[in-house]
Formats: sequence, structure tokens, C-alpha cells
Amino acid sequence: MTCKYLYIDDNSELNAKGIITGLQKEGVLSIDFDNPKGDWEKERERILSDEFKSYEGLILDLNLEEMPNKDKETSHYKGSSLAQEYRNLSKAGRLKEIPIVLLSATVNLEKYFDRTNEDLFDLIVPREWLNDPILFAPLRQKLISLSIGYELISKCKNDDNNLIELYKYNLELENNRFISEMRAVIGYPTHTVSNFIIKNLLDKSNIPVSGILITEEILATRLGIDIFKSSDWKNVLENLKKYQYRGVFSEGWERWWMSGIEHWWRTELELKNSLRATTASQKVDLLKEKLELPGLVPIEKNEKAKSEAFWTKCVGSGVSIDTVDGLLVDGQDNYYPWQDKKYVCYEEALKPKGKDKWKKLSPSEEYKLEILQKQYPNVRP
Amino acid sequence: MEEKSPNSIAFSVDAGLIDRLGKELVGRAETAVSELVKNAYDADAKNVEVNFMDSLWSGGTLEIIDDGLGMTLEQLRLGFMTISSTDKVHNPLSSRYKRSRAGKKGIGRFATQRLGKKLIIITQTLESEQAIKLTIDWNNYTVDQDISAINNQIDYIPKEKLEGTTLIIKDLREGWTEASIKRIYRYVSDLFQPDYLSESSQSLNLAKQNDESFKVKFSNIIDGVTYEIASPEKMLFNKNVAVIEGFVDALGDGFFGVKSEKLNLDDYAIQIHKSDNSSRFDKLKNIHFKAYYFIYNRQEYYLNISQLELKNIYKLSQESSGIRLYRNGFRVLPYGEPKNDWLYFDKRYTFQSGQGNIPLSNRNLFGFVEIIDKEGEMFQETASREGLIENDAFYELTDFLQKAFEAAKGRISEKISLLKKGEQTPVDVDDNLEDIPEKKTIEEEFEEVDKEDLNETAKEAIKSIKEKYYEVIEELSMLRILASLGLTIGEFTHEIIQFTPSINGYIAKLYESSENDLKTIELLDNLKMTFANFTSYTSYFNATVSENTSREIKPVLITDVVERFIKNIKDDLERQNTELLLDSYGYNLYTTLMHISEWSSILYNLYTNSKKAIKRSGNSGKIRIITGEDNNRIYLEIHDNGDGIPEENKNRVFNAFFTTSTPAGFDSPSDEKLTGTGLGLKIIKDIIEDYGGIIKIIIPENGYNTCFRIELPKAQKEELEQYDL
Repeated sequence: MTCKYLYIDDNSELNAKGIITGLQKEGVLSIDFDNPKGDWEKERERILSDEFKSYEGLILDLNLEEMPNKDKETSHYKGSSLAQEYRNLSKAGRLKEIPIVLLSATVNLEKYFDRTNEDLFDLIVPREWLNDPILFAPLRQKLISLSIGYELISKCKNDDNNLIELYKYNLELENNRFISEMRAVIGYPTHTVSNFIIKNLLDKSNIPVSGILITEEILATRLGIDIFKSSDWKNVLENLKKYQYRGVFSEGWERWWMSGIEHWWRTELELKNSLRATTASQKVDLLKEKLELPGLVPIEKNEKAKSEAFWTKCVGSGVSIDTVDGLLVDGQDNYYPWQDKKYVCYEEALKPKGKDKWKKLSPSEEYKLEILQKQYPNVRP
Repeated sequence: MEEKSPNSIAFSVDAGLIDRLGKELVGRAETAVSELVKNAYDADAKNVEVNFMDSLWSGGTLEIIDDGLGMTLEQLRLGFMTISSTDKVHNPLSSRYKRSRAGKKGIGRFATQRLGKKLIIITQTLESEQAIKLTIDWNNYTVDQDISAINNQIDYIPKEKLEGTTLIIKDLREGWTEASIKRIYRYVSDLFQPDYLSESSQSLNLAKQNDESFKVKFSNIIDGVTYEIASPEKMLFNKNVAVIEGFVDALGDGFFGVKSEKLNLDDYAIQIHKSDNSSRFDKLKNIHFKAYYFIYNRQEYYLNISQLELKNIYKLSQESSGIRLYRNGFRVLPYGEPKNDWLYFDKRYTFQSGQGNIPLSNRNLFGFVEIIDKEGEMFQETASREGLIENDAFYELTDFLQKAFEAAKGRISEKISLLKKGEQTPVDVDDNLEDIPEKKTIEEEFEEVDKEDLNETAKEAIKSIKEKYYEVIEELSMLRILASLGLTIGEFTHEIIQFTPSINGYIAKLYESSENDLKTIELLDNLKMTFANFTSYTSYFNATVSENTSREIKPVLITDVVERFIKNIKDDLERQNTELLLDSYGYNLYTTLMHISEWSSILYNLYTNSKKAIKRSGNSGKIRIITGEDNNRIYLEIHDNGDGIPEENKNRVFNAFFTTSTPAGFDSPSDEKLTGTGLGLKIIKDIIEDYGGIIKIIIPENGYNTCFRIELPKAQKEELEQYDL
């Protein structure tokens, strides 16, 4: 079944054609392009038209005011205003709920986007993402997944807010707080449910959220396996298929159930050593033996780190670390209890190289940095 | 009854009485003159000239010339020469302009005797064919002489003007100083009506009644040369800080303007809206106001005022400041009287602070509001004649005036704060275009200086100024080219990046084709990589440009900008086969607040220089960047193994236009001209010094031939906190 999106941008269709071509895939995703109408009433007419009912998703540019449309009319509203109107009309029952994606240059996001509008969108994609052809396919998957997910959410809502159906997983062992939040949220409009799931379980501001679900990278880190050096990594994943996330939005977000991995380690592999506390080399040795996969290489410890029981990744450099060898970054006070905190490794804290990914240390960690700086004076010879 | 002879005119009471009356009723000489001025007022004069001629000592002459109605012989006899004429009682209003008569006791004219020994009256009316000239010698009036027996000489002479009276008092009894003349002015200033304030309303044909105005000018004439002593303009108004003027037209649209030479203010027709919803005043039409604004004790706010003059105005403000109200030419009391605060200026502004010390109390204003309301449609006076009934029109009037003055205050405040900052307030473009003498160009001034006979030192100094001047001019024009090039690059990269996602979309699509063979995939890989390099350049520049346009300065983490820079030049380094080493010492290498884009300029320039030097040397390229902290300063060193800088050039490389590149031909394309402008290091130096840093050439480490070292102040702890870093 082909999923159909409408993409509204004030740019010329010629200019947007490549983006559409890259994202579209026959039989899977098709995207129609149009300019803004230049007139709010006409815009409403468009949304409420029969033709519009065929779309299962909407991609909006933020700044629609830069260029006049084909009829030489310049619009005087933002993509976020359109999204708001759409959500309002849905709420009033005049439209079905569909995913809305914001696609905009970072500059414009910074200049024009009021962050209180974030919840209108299921996904906010900086245009710069598309500066790499490799990222087109994952974005396509996300678009498709969003429209499938919207269907699923509304199906579950109608099925007595069925969470098992939504996650395709037995949630009994998951964090209580998560379950109670989820039970409350499922009663809200579909886009609110979607927002909650994406931002608190999958991706926050395009950085993966860890906790109940984990990415492939975190999975490898927690198993102590160096993905790039291990020819048998894919085979490990084969063994974990059962615990791969199959719930809502899983088509666009590849994740694993953390509780499932622990269960697998303890029950299926019958390993007594704690997954959390065992060093990478020990874990890899155990896995090699249990899975009979020789092509596995353990992650190496960074020079300044102490522990080899890697559990997370430095948000700046991507190096695997144990949380004891990391410093908490600022701004995580409002995390849900099921969400893992973010750290930077000592090296990154001392000499940041990925400052675009984190801003500053949590104030409570600053004294540790001072100690580190004394420990490694880094004086010019 | 006395006999009348056609050529003489007689008083009909005891002549001694005249003397007594004159002296007793008009005790002070100043009062005497003011009484005569008031007579002119009562005669519906519009202009009165009071000229004291060679009168510093007694024996001088006083002329009082008015353009009033003048007198017929009959009127002269009855009105002027008859004592205690009842005319004022019978006719409380003047005949033409219905002025409320000001001449107090009806005997003001005898003041002339008080003033001088001889009086000549020349008077003519509109209808008369000739002027009447009456000469009186007061010496003839002594006690016990029958007044009727004294005949005063009457002549008929050709008319001097259409109408009006001239009094010439000769052989003045006392001397007149400037101060005493100014005192008279103050005595009569109450009579002044705001005519001279009404230029704009006249031109709008709003205030026809302004013809009824009354204006007096006091002059001292010494040996035939006239010195104006006192006129409203001279005494007061021309000295103001600002003139605030405005009107509401016949439709109810209200406007105001502020003029001030000192503050370079020349606003006009700034609209005052009735409210947010409606711009026009409903009830208020045809009013005009003008006020002269003064700030006391602030001589520096004036163009040309002495401490004394300002003090005098201040003194005057105690009795005659405020905004007076004239209705159809008549003063309406109590508006504008001392202590009357009908516009609530005192209440509102006296204790207000923080507005840049722009006081706006009644004391600061000398002004008038004229209301043209012939039919009495807008305003009615209260039954007790104690002002106007406070109806809607009155409310709109006070509202309009309050808003206009508040807005004017804002305009003045803005300019005064500029003045305080010592900034040149910008002159409005269309202002005084003709008045400004054409400015000489600096080149012309140089030529003139050259013609002058100067000593060697001066010539030498001028020569070096000239050289510096032409150097700066040249640099400036090159900077202009660079700036416009920068803008073009900014626009260009912005356009370019618009295509990036689309091109990548096509590349992504091509990869997905099922028909790709290995060869095609290899081609695609190359295309993808090349385009990725291309994109990294454009996005780097785009980021630089957009950061530059945001103009935000913040502490800059030098390791971070270097890291980003190196990422960007990685491919270039590979192509040049140049090795780059990077070291940083210390932690938290935040410089003082800077534009990140400036670091792009610095690093690109230094890198380009190194590249050129390496190319010239033919060496296998090696560049080493070292960052660190030293003595509370952040430093960056860039080493290269290029051809080095000869000792003699080390001091010159930072000069504008110093370049080792071959000069481009005059007709070469501009991009060629720009490479090697010799401005690169100069610009870097300017940037760095702007932030209190230095750039110098130091002895390089082993294995390198050149090293530039930049030092900048380290970011303060507070700065980092402020920017949440």
C-alpha cells in the first residue's frame, strides 16, 4: 500500500523535486508537492477539500513567506500556523488526524520557530539532514511509520485503549511510571499520543532516547561488542530478534526492548554475571561461547576511563563508557524515571570536540571536571 | 466754554493739575511708558515701536509709534486732551478688535509729561486726508496758569501712513538704561497676544483673528544705530531649548511638531490620535498652540544664551510662564495664570524622574493656545466668567495638549540624551541645505595648505598626514570591495545550499536503482563524496555568514572553532598533500566575547598564507596549530614550513597592502585583484586588536619556518556564566 504525503513549501517545485524523488519509493511512499495558497481562506479550503482527504501525512516548510507561489501570491503565515489550524480542525472532528512533519532550515527554525509549537509536529527535520544522501531512506521510513502509527494509535484507542496492541509487547515488567503515564496519554488526541511516544521513548530533538527502548549502538555497548570490528555482530542481532521493538513507529525507529535483553541474558543464555557490572571482554568471551560466534571483539577502554563495564555512549564523542566514567550533561532534570541520563566522557569534558551535541555539564559535575583538570594538567612542554 | 481756535487746542482745567496728575498717578517712569503702550493697545494697534533715542542720559528722545486707529481732531481733543475721559467706562471694548481696554485710569496719556518736557503727537486715521501734528511744551503748564489759555500748536501735515499715532517725547527727564527699558517690556507683556506664534495657523487660514494681535518692540537708538532691547522674541522666545507647536484642523486631525536648533530637531505634522481607535478629535477643531520650552540651569542645552539671560527667563517664568488660553483672540482666565495648572503638567511631571531630566512643568513653558470658535459652538465660558465649561471639547483640548506635550517631551528627551553622550545629533537631510556653505574636500584643503608658507616641520607633518590619508582612502575602497564581495558570497552560498538537499535526493534515488552495476556504484560513490566535500564548504560558509548576520558575540571556545575549521579544510589538506598537526594545552580555552565568523576570517587567512608560503618553498607541507592559555590570555599559534618571512618584512606584513603576491594587472578580473590584496593580515590584526589582543610573528618551533601567534583576553568567569557556558 502506498502511503501518500503532501509537501507544502514556498520553494519552486523544481527545487524541491530532488528531495521528493529521494524520499519517494514506488509502492511505498508518494509525495505531492504544492506551494502555499497565499491566502488563509484558500488554505483552509484546501485542507477541507475532498482531495485532501487522500493524504496520510503532511510535510510543511516553516517559512512560507519568502517566495510567491505559482500565482504570484506571497503567503503571510508560517507552516506552524497551518499545522495549528489543521490540529484545530481535527479536534473539531472535521478532519482525520494525520502526522505533520516540519522540514525547515535550521536558521529559520532558530529565527521563527516558537518552541511551544513543537507538539504540533510529530517530527521536526532540519533541512541540513538532507545534506547526506544516506539519510533519505531512514527519513522515508519514518514518514511511512508515522502514517502507519497514526492508524495503529487510533485503532488501539478504539480498542479500549489497548496498550499491548500498541506496543505488541507484554508491558508487565516495564517501569510502572511509564505504564501509568501511557494509560493516561492514550486517551488524548492521536497526535498527542504520537508526540509522547516519539519524544519520551524514541527520539528527543533527533537524539535517541534510551531507557525502555535502546538503539543498536547502545545495545552493542551494553553487550561490550565493538560493532565495527565484529564480523558476527549481525548474527548476534539475529539471536535478539524476539526482543526487537515491533510496536508503534517501529518501522521508522529501530529499537530493542532493554527488559528483553536482560531477560535474554539471564534466562535464555543463563548467565549468572550481571549484564550491568561485567566488563566488556568478559561479556564478549561469554557471548562467543554461548552463541558460538567467534567474530566478536570487545570494545576497548578509553585511556582516562576506569571501568570496562560500558553502559552508555558519550554524547559528544560517541565513545562507549560506564556511567562512572562519565559526567552528566546539563538539562536533564525533567527526565522521566525510565529515561537514561546522558553523559560525556572525561576526554570530551576536558577537550570538547562535539560541542554541537551538548552545551554544558550539569552544575553538580563541575567539581569533578576541576579535579580532572588538575589530574591531567595538559601543560605545554 | 473755551473758545476753539482751529490751530490750537486747549485743556480745560487748571494746568497745575496736569502736572500733579502726571506725577502722582504715574509715579514711575517705566509705568508711564507702559501706560502709553497700553493706549496704543486700546487704539487697536498691532505693532508698537518704542524707541529710546540717545537717552542713556536725561535729555534724550522717546518715540512711541503705533499703527492703531489714530485720532481725529475731535478724538484728540476729547479723548486725549480731556482729563478723566469717561470713554473707557462707556466703551469697555476697543472699537475694532473689541479688546478689553487696558489703559488703566484714562489719564495714561499724561504720563507723557512725566517722561519728558516736550510732546509731539502725530496722528492719522484711515479716513483722514492729512495727519494731525500736535506739539505740547509742558513748561507752559505751571500752577495758576489757566489751562485753557495755554494753546498747543496744531499742524496739518501729510500722512505718514494709513493710520496710527506717533508720540514723540523730547527732552526726557531722566536717563534710560537697558534694564529699565526691559522693565517696561515686562509691564506690558501681559498684553501680548500670540499672533507671532501663529505662522502655521495663519498659513492654514485657521486663525484670522490673529490680525488682532499686539506686538511691541523696544529699541535703543544711539547715534542713529538701532539696538533692539526688548521684544518678545528677543527677550525670551528665541532663546528657547525648543519650540513646541501644533494644531487641530477643521476636520479634527491633530498634529504637533518640535523645533530646536541646538538639538537639531525639526519635526512637524506628527499626528496625535484621539485614541487607538479613532484618529480624529470629534469636538475639537481649529485650535492652535505654540509654546517655548526652557530648561533652567542647563545652559548647555541652548544654542546661544548667557547665564544671565537664562536667569532672567527663569525669573520671568515665576509670573508669566504657563500655557495661556485665548478664545477668538481674548485671553480666558485663569488658564496660564501663575499657579494655574489646567493641563496638570505640574502635578504630573514635577516629581517625575528618569526621563533624562526633561522637566515639563508650567514653569518650563511659555505658550498659548488659540481657539477659533466664533459661534461659540465648542466652548462656553462659565457664568461666573471663571473659565470655560469643561465639556467634551474642553476635555479633548486638554487631552490633545497633554499628548502633544508628552510626545514632544519624548522627542526632546531623545535628543538631549544624544547631546549628553556627546554624539553629533543627526541633521535632517532636507534641513538648511542652502545655508550650509559648501564644504571643502580634504584634497582641496591640502592644496590650500600647500600654498601657505610653512616651516619645514609643519610641511613634513602635513606630508605624512597626506600620505596616511591616501593610504586610508585606498584601504577603505578595498575594504568596500571586500565587503561587497562578502555580501555576494553570503547571498551566493545561501542560494547554493538551497539545492543541496535536492541533489542529495537524486543521489539517494540513484543508489536505490536495481540496475546499478559495480561500475555505476563506484561512480555514485565518487559523486556522493565530491558533493559531500562541496556541501561541507558551502555549509561552513553559510553558517559563517548567518552567524555573522546574527551579530551575536559570545565567548569563543578556540579549540572548537579550530576543530570545525580543520574538518572543513581536511580535503584541501589532502589535495595539497599537507600534514596538519593540532595541539591544545590547558582547558576551557574560551576567548573574550567575539563573533565566531571572525575566527573563520582569521583561520582562513592564516591558512591561506601558510599554503602560499609552502607552495613557494616547494617543501612537503607541514602545518601545526597550537592553542593554549598563558597569563590569562588565550593564544593560537600557526606554524608552517613554508619559505618564511624575511627579517626586513616582519614589521611590514601587517601593513595594509603589503603583499608578496604578484600584483594583478589593472585590467585583470576582480577576483584576481582580490587574491593578494595585502589586506588579509591587516584585517586580522584589526579584528584582534579590536578585542584587546595582539598578533605577532614569533620564533617557530623546530622544523617550521614561520609562526604567527595570536593572543586574546580570556573570557571572564562572569562572561561564561552570562552565556551559560
